[in-house]
Amino acid sequence: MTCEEVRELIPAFVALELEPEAERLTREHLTACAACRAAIEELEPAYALALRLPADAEGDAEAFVAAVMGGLRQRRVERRLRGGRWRWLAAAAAVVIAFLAGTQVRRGGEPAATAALSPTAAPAVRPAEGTFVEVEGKGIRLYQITDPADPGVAVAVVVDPALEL
Amino acid sequence: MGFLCLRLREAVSEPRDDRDLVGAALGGDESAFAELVRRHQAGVRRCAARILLDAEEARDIAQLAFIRAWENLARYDPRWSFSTWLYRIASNLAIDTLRSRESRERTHAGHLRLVGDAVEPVALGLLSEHEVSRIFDELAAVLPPMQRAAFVLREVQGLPTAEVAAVLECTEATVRNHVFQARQALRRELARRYPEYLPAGGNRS
Repeated sequence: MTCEEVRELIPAFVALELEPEAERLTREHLTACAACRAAIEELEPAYALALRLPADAEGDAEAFVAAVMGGLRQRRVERRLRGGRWRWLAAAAAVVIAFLAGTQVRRGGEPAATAALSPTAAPAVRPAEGTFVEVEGKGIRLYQITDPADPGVAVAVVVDPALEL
Repeated sequence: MGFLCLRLREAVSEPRDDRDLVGAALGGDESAFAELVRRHQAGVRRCAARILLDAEEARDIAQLAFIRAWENLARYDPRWSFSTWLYRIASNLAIDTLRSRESRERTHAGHLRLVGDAVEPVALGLLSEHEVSRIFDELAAVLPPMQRAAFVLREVQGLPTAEVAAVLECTEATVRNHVFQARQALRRELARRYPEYLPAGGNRS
């Protein structure tokens, strides 16, 4: 598209009356050509902003894709934990942990579905060895962390190994 | 026959179109969905950022939009383009976020310019992308959620009016109204806060 053609189309462009293909070509030209942009900005100052905003989103595309796919898996783990299998898993974990570390999982509370640790327990704890539990062929890794000062308190962290770095 | 076509297509590794990828994703193929995310992330993230005017919140909303798309993939109607459907999910999330933010805050930041911030008269066209971006974010904060979404989709992202109407689930006339009102508000704010950037003769109401 030449500058002359674009100048002729500018009024229809501003009035939102161009057909999508003509509009796309005009917009492409306007984004690239400062002289034509000055002409449209005089008619409609809002284009001084709209046509000059960076075209790319900030941040790396692949990192974003990885974050979304990680989010999907995280949701799946959470859903699995909300299902009835958690009871089985909690029971198995309690047995294994009691056997390995001689501590007890406090019963009755809601299971920790994410890796959130209680702030009071965090500074003093050291992760126990991970215990790997198979659930219907899909692996879930379970960590149990205890506070040496109070072995009655334990935090169980369930992680989908696919999410681990 | 369909199977043969599929095999042939794979053999020449032709890029698959969005609907093929949706079909594969529905069958549980996560890599097909990852490809859809890769294709559409730039537009969705850009729109979310310009509607929400908050980079961190925009990233979260864009991610959530794709996660919702994956979880509701079975409800996707292939008569729409996949990107229209995605923009709809993302816009709805962004507009809801804006509305709850509004009702939460109620106080307006005021966007005061710093004393000594006076700049030499310079055409807006000569400012850096970064500066234009900052000014847009400041001025667009006055636009109500629907107006802002319509302006961003139509004028910043350049989607056709019909597609914006499909995304925002309103008529094309409503989209135009929102866009014209948004332009008017931006002109007004530009004249009020940055008169030095207004093009000569562009100071209309």
